[in-house]
Formats: sequence, structure tokens, C-alpha cells
Amino acid sequence: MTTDEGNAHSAAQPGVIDRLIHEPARLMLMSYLYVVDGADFLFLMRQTGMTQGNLSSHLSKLEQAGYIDVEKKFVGKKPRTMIRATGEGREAFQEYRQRMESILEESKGE
Amino acid sequence: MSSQPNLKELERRAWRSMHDDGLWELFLGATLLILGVSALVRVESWAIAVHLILSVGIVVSMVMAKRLITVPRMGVVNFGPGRREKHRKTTALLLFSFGLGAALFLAIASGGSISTWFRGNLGLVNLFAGVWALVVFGGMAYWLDHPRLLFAGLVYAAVFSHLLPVGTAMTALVGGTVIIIPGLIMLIRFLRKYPLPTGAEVHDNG
Repeated sequence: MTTDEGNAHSAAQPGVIDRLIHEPARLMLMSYLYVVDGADFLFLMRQTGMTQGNLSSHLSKLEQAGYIDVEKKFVGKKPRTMIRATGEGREAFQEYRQRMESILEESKGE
Repeated sequence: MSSQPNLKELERRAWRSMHDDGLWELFLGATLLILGVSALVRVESWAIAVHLILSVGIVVSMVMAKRLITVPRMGVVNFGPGRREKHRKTTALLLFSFGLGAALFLAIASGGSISTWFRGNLGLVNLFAGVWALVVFGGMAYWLDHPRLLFAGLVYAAVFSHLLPVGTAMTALVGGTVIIIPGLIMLIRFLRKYPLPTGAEVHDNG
């Protein structure tokens, strides 16, 4: 697997790190979305310090993998993009954390 | 791995960033200022009317300020059930506190034996009010994860206990100003740090 998307699905295999989440910017995004119920585009931009284009690109990848749910709606006349981690995304993130922790534990023993 | 974030700390940082606007300080300071202004009004019924009108005005201003200043700059976030539960506890504490305050006020204003007792034991009543302010603000600071409220609590406690050797109005005005000044500084810093996003950022997001 060479693409991030491909690696996301290969994460189910034992011992394989989910590279879609492993990328620092997306790890940060998934972390924020894991600890809150939902947030809009501007909130994520403020918290992560990413540019609009960068954030859009990473969110698209996470959405394609089914890790997040993007809902576009209007509040009055203003558009608002709400983003939530899906159940699959939460599981993947949890699994990623556990895997990384076990790798770090193993490396301490060496 | 250094990039492995501490989730609890991350959530706390996100929560606090939504309250770095100084609006709580401005609200609490303005509430004390209103108390001071009302105390300056000689006729009691007018003092109550002024207090009520200004209090409603400050609550409406706080809600509007959150909507017009904080949300357009910081965005929208729905925090998890833990935060919602703490928010519910804070609301319950505040409602109970306001209810207790209103009951005490009515008891004093109604005349009769309760009023006589209160007027005869003002020192004790003031001390209780000061301690109660510390309890309420301590609870708020803990549940809202907002340590700066402890400072406001100390000022409120000092004002309610009449610790300063000046009249009620002056104590409240000084106390309110002491809380408002850091709030104003925080608001200015917040506005500089988080300018309004450009049209493209708002309209083409995601």
C-alpha cells in the first residue's frame, strides 16, 4: 500500500500503523475530534493553526476513509461546516493510540 | 512519540481557548458596578428598578458578545458529556444562589421579625454573604475549569463582607473596576490574536 487511504484500511492488520492517522496534521485533527462531540471548520483551523487549504485537504482524506462526518448547513445566511468523528474513526484512533503505546513500551524494553 | 498528544490536556486547551475572551471578567465586574450604581440611588424602589434594568442589560450584552465576538472568531464546538454535566452543575449552583439571594432580599424588604433580625446582625449576614460568594465562585472555577474566577470570587467576597472601610457603593464600584480591568486587557489581546476570518475562510470552509 502506498497511499494514505490504502494504509488506512491496512491498519486492521496486526502490527500495522494506520498511516492516515499517523500523519501529524491528521493526528492532531483526529485528536481534537476525538475529545469533542463536534466542531466547525473555523474552530479546527484556530486550534490546529492550519491554513484553510491544508485543513480542507486533510479533512477530505479523513472523510474518504470514513473517519469523520462532514455536514454542511446554513445558520441564518451563513454557511457552517460541522465535523464529527464517526464511530469507525473513533475506533481507528483508539486502535492507533494503543498500537503506538505498545510500540513505545516495546522500544523501552530494548 | 512526541506527536502523541495528551488528550485530556488537548481538550482542556480547547475549552479554555473559548473562554480567553475576558467576557466572564467583564460580566462579573459589570455586575458589581451595577450593584454600586444602584446603591448610589437614594430612593429604594428606584434603586431596585435601576438594578434590575441594568442587570438584564448586562446579561443580554454577555450573550450577544459571545455570539458576536467569540463565535465568529473561534468557531463552534460541542464539548463532550463531561463538560455538559459540569455546566449543568454550575447552572444549578448559580440558580440556587440567585434564589437564595432573592429570598434574603425579600425577607429583609418585607419588614417584620426576619427583617429586624437581619438588620440587627448585619455583620454576620455580610460575613455569610462573603463566604457564600467564595463557595459559589469556587464551584464555578472548579466545574468550569476557569481558575480566574477565583480572583473574581475573592473580590466579591471582599465586597459582600464589607472588608473595605468605605461605603457599599464605593466598595462595589472599586471591586467591579478591579475585575473589569484584566477582563478588558484580555478582550483586547483576544481581538488582536483572533481577528475576524476573511470571507473566503468563512464561506468556502470544508
